[in-house]
Amino acid sequence: MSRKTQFEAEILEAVPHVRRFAYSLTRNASDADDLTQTVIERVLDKGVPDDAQMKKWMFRICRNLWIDGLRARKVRETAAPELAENAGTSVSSEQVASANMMVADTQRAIEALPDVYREVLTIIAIGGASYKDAASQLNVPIGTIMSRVGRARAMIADKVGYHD
Amino acid sequence: MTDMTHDIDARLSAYLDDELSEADRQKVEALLINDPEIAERLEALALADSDFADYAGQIDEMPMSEGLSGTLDRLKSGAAVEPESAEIISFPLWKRGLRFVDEHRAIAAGLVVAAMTATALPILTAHDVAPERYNSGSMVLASSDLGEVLRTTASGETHSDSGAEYAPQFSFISASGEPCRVVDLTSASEAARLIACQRADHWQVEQAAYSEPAQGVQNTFQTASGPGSEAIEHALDELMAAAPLSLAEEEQLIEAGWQHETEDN
Repeated sequence: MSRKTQFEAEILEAVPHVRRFAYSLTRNASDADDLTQTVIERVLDKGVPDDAQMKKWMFRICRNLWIDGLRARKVRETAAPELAENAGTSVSSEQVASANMMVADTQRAIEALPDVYREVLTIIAIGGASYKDAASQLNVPIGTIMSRVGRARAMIADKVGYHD
Repeated sequence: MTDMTHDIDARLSAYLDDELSEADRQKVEALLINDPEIAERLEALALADSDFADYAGQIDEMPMSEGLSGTLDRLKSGAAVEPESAEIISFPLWKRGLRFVDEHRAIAAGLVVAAMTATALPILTAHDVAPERYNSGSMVLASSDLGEVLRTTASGETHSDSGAEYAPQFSFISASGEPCRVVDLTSASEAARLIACQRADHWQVEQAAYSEPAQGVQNTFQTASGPGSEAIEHALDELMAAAPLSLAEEEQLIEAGWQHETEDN
C-alpha cells in the first residue's frame, strides 16, 4: 500500500469516530458533518505530523475548529443578539429525529451541558484522551480536568435523576 | 451542591476513567464498600457517561450531509488528494508561505541552520536586536526595531537598523485568529528566522531558529534542514490555519494596525 493510499485509508477509518466527536461537541448533525468535512480537508491540506496518530490528530483539529466556531458565534451574538436568540430557539430535523432515539430527559440533560464541560467530556469520553493529554490540549492542570469531567457527569446524572 | 460533593464526583469520575493513583483508588473502593450512597453515585456517573457516549453515537444512524458524503467518495476513489507524486501526501501551509517568498523575492543562497539555543530573554528591549537573543515566548516591545518591522514593514521589503537587517517573509492568520509574521534577521555574526504573532497588546515570538548567515549574501534566507528549521516548520504547521496572506491583504492589516476581525476566519 502506498503512503498516499494508507493516508487516505487512515482518514476513512477515523471519520466515524470524528463524526461522533463532532456531534458530541455541536449537538447538531448538520454542523457535525460540516465540522468533520473541514477536519478532513485540513488533514488533506496540511498533513499529519509523523509522530501523531491520525484519529487523535483529527480529534484535536475538530476541537480547535469547534472552538473557533464558538468564538465567531460569540462575536456574532454580541453584534446581533436578536439573531442569536432566534437561532437558539430553532429545532433542527436532526434534533427531532435524535430525540426519538434517546429518552428525552437524557437528551435534554446532555444538550444542556455548558460548553466548557461538554468539551472536556467529549475529549475524554468520546476522544479517549487521558487526563494528562486533555490537560495538555486545553492548557489547564490535570486537577482541573478531573474536576470538570466529574462535574460534567454529575450535571447529566442530576438532571436525568437516575435513582429518583 | 457542596465542594465535598464536587470532590467526590471528581474522584468517582476519575475512578471510572482509571485515572487515580493506587492509593486514591483504594480509598475510593473503601468508600464504595462502606457507603451505599457513594456506590449509587458511582453508578449514576457511569450511566451519565454511557448516555453521553450513546448520545454521540446517535449520529451513526443519521444521514450524512451531501458535502461530507462527497468528500468521502472522493477520498475513496483517490481523487481527493492530487499530489505531485504518490509519495507526496500533503503540501503544508508553511511551504506555501515559502513559495510565496520565492515568488516575491530573489533568494540566492541557503544557509546551514545551527541547533536552536535555549537562551531565554523574556522581554526584548530596543537595543536587544541580536538575532541570537530572541526565543520562543519573548515579548517584542513596540519600541524595538523588531516591533517596528512587525508593525510596518511589508513582506518582501527589508529594514536595516542597529547593525541588523530585518526581512519579513510572509504573514498569515493563526488557527486562533491572530495575525502572525515570519521574519528573517541577519547581523554580522548570526541569522535567524522568527515567527511572531500579535497578542492582545503586543507581538510575541512564537518560534525562533538560528543559523550562520549565508556567506557573501546579505539578507538571504532559505529553507534548510536542521533542528532549527524543523522547529520553524513544525510551528508553522501548528499555527497556520490558512494560506499566507496576499500582499494586498497584508497591506490592509498594516494600515489597520494589525487589527484582525476574528469572525472572518
